[in-house]
Amino acid sequence: MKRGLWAIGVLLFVLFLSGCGARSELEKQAFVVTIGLDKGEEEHQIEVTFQVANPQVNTTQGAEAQNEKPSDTFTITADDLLSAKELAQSSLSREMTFSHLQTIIVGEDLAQDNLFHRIISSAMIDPEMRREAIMMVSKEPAQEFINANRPTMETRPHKYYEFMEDSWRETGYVPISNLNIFFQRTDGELFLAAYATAQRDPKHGVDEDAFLAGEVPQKGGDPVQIIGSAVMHSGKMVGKLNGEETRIAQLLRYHNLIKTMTASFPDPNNEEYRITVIMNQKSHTRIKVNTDQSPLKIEVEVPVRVQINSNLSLVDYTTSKKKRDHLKKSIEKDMEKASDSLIDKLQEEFVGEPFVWYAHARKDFWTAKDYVDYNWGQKFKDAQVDISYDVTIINYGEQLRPPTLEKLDKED
Amino acid sequence: MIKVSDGEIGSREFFAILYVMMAIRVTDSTPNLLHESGLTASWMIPLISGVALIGPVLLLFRLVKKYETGLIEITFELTGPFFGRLIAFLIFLSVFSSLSLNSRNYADIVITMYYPESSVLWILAVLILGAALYIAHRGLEAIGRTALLVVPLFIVTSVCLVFSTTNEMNYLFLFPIAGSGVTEVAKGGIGYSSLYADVIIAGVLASQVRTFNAYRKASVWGLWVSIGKMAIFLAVYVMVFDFHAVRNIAFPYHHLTRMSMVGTIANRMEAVYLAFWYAGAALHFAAYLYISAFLLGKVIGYKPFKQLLFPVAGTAVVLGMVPENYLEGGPLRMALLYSSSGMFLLLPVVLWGLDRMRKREKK
Repeated sequence: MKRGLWAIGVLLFVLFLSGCGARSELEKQAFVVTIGLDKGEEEHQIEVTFQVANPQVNTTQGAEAQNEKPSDTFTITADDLLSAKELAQSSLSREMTFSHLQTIIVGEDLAQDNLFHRIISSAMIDPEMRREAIMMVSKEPAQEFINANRPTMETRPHKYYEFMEDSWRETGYVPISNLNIFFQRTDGELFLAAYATAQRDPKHGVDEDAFLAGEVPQKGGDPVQIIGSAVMHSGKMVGKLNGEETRIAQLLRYHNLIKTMTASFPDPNNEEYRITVIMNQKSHTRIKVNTDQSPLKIEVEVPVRVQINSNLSLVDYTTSKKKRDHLKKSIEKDMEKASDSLIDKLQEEFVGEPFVWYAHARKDFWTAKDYVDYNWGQKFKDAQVDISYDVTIINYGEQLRPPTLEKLDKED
Repeated sequence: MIKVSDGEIGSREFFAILYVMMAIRVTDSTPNLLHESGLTASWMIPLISGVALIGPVLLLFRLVKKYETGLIEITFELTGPFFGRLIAFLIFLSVFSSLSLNSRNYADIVITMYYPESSVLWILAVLILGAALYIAHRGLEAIGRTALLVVPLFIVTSVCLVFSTTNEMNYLFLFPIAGSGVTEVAKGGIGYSSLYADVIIAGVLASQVRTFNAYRKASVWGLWVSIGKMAIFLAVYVMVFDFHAVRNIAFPYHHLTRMSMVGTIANRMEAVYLAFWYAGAALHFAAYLYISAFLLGKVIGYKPFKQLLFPVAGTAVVLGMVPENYLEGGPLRMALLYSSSGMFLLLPVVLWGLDRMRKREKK
């Protein structure tokens, strides 16, 4: 008996050993924070750009690594991501790991290629790839984008993308686009990926938010602009939406992922000027899908809550109910118009929709096979879509009346 | 009150044992089998299994109450030594093959998701020959007590996991409501009811539970809590990943733990879940090992069955090494589940029938 216990005691120590089987020291690892994917020169080859963070920079140990850069970027040409990772080891002293990979940037050329779906799907097989990684499409090759992206505030690259993603939730110019959602929508539904570029091509005279990445008139600062979205269908990029369209796409979803957004509308009481408002949603968008009808009928009602924080025309809204109602109506009309033109664009150019309306349509089906056979994407092309907005203006800023100068007013 | 240890367990310990035997199935590749057969309606399959099990379980309760002993003794009593042994051997076979197939499955999870460089043999040895054998060797009471210690933690972590991923869920993904169709779902529900047949298998331990009421209460609770957990997790998997993608994910539980986030800072939570899961797996196999050895002891008529623990564990490890990868184990597991479903659904019914016949003869 005693001997038996002793043997079991020894076996117990085996438990402690399990910690050593796949041990890897922090110091020996290289954390990849960003991956860039581009089409290679040879067919079926891709160029993979790795941005490896230097964990020593900006820590208490930073003094020891003063002359080291915050990250190291290099590009490998290979058949797929996994072999590129292995080949990268030929120049890297540390063992590369994807466990802190947050962002995957795909060059537009590759995203439009049939190869892309294979690349990303096969990359998913690697257990180190995480489904919550953000996917972005860059206008130029991803390697150029990553090399050009040198934000001054965020020296550490992983912080940069983390903060950027947080700010997307505040503006709505960019869709929240992680790989998990990408893999949910490979069957005919549209997926929106953030669209980015480091090339400037400023456009003037456009309405405040109808920009694509690179078009925002900006001087100085970080060359990178992330605004608008790339439309992916069946894992392949088929088009682009600008910042305004992307925002509307977010509003038309049942689950709006955007907390607040600032938008401007022409002031109905003084057409010369625009009025800028802060918008959020008080409740979920109501979506009614009727698949029994042909063509398919979709009714959407978007409740929006508006705060007026800037008023260029200096029209006095607080004293006139008529003006207030007028403003409300005009915002509703403006947004309905913008939404209708987005729907027209989607129905004309693409097959499917990015608003997760398909999930509402599923309620009408009894079995999964019925739903798949219905072919939602094709049916949406001819669907009759009714969108209405329900605007509530909850406040007019902190001033009761616009602070006008008496004299100027009289001269007007 | 401090009770002198008498080798018997109470209702809470028995519940904990049933929980580690059944509820941990949400974390291995069982959900894949169910998703494959139910698509969006996979969450109904465990509920149907539960309904299918009500009859057999109630009959088993009646028998246990009447004979005041465990399932195997009842079988020997009613069918005689030859058939008694045969039935005990069949149950042993199903428990043991499930032990070796599942242990391999768990080792594969560790290798695929966490430690790709470890060897299967190593993990199996640590899990089965190390932890599980040690716990099982201390006896049923030790298994029960250990399970009672960790089961509340499992329940808490499961609830945390569901809540910390609610952001990613969309309840509309549960539609179309009938999934693969009514007949398919019902077929799956009955075919996979052996996933919860542990409640019948654990009947062999009935004589070691203090009172019949404790046994009955623990069985009922163990069954519905495990089924409820499975149903909830299947629904969560579909709501998070959607049904197209979930079919391609080998181990959805472990993908879910990766997505679990507490605030924005603590977003690599899987290590916490891994620790609890590993403890749970060790207990799961400890219970299985104990029951296997117990049954084998009955079959060969060997009273000090604890000495059989070591050879049983060793054989399970050796057999677990046979399949090349988890895909080879998959079809075997499915066949095992389907065939043992029939056996466990029918066993209590047959025994009950024999009991009735005997009563009539006596009259």
